[in-house]
Amino acid sequence: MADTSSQLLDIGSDDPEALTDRFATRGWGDGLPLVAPTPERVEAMLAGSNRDPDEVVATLPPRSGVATRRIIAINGVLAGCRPEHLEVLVAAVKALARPEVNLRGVNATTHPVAPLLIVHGEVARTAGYNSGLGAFGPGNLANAATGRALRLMLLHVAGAVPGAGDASTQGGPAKYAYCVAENLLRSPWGGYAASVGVDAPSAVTVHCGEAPHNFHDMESDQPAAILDKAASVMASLGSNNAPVSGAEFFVMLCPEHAATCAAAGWTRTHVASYLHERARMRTGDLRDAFALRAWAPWQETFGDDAGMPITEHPDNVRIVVVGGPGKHSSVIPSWGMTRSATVPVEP
Amino acid sequence: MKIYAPDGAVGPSAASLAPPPPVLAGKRIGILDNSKPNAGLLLGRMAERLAARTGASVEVVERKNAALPAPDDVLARLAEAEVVLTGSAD
Amino acid sequence: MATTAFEALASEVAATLGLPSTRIVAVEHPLGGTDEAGVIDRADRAVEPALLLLTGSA
Repeated sequence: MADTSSQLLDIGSDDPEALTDRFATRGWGDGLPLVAPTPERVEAMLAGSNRDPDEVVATLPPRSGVATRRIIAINGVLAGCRPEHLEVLVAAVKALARPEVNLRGVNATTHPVAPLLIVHGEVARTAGYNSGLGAFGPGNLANAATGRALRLMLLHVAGAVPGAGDASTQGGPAKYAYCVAENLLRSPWGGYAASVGVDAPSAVTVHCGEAPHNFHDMESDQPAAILDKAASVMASLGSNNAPVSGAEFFVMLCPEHAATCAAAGWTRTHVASYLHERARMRTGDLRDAFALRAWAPWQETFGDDAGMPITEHPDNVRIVVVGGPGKHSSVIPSWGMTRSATVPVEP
Repeated sequence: MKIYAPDGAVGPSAASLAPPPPVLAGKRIGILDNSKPNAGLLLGRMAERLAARTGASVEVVERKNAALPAPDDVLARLAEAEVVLTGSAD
Repeated sequence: MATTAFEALASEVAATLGLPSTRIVAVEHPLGGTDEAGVIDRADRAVEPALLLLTGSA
């Protein structure tokens, strides 16, 4: 069995630049200044729970790094997390390690994919996560630090370092910190976690995909016109959803767009079904663009002029309410060979 | 100042590399095409040239999605070969 | 097989999988978008290095 104890290093100076430089020489860090994970800070991070700090939460590929609660706490401290964020991080690591997420593929690909972490329920409120104006950033400590800590876990523990375990051709800004909270108060349809069968006061979802693609609609008072804009963003040759029809979309509706849909009597299912129906491309154009496709057998029976849904099934269209006042929403296409995972946050 | 290292232990590895055969004559070559553009052509041509050069034969040709591990049945068929050529990345 | 641009990555990944001595042959990058003649040329040039790795002699 692997030795799960954590190594203590003497880095000499307590100067912040010294820490960042020392880390950089070891290939650690994300390029930004770090908070020193001293024993005092790490113990403080762990103090809110009586769980064993050496409990193994997950093993993260490609490095097969062992993520214990202490290792998660260390990376939380580095990122600027507070103790109230630890259980969210632990749940996020568990979610990332779920086989359906395909973390090995997510880390290794040349695609700019980053895991989006969505925080649901009670912990979003009690631990200070932002689900409203500016939820995707910048400015909120919980969102920024938790998102950053998850990325530090992938860099340090999973070994997803650019050029070593991460081949992303251009990288991407979502690889620094990518964390939001669901706006439960403004969701007309209840919480997302319960809608996928996770019935817990607090939960997290990870969805491995691109950075958000904005769409806006300032004029419409009916769902169809708003959602047609979302559908046009979804129906793109540029995303991996086009050749991988089993992949998901996360559609992050702002509260006002969600309210317009709900006022017309549309449920989450109605919204997803409409988007599935409307987000189509000409089959021949898809075939011309992608010689290599991961399509269901029924899709290959379509004629070239038929409209092909960009995703196989309405269940692949996931609706979450996020944001503050205004009429901007976003679509988050998938990396493709991955499925989202939702897990409860332990109290 | 003392700090904790952030990387954690490495889990046990289950794999070990098979030793190379001293000669390839009479051996079976397998191909695992990772479905990236031109991978099939490159691997196929290499396998064919290796076989012609050494007296080995190309016996198993399998394909997988580059983003996923190879399925067990594909690996089982490839295990019939002594040498497998496969591709990594784009 | 890896192209030259991804040879180091392939080595790193092999090492993290516990197989640091994985036999890797590199061909000129890129492969995608290269015409058939170019791919065949790369394959033919890779035979000797592959033989050396596979059997210890070419």
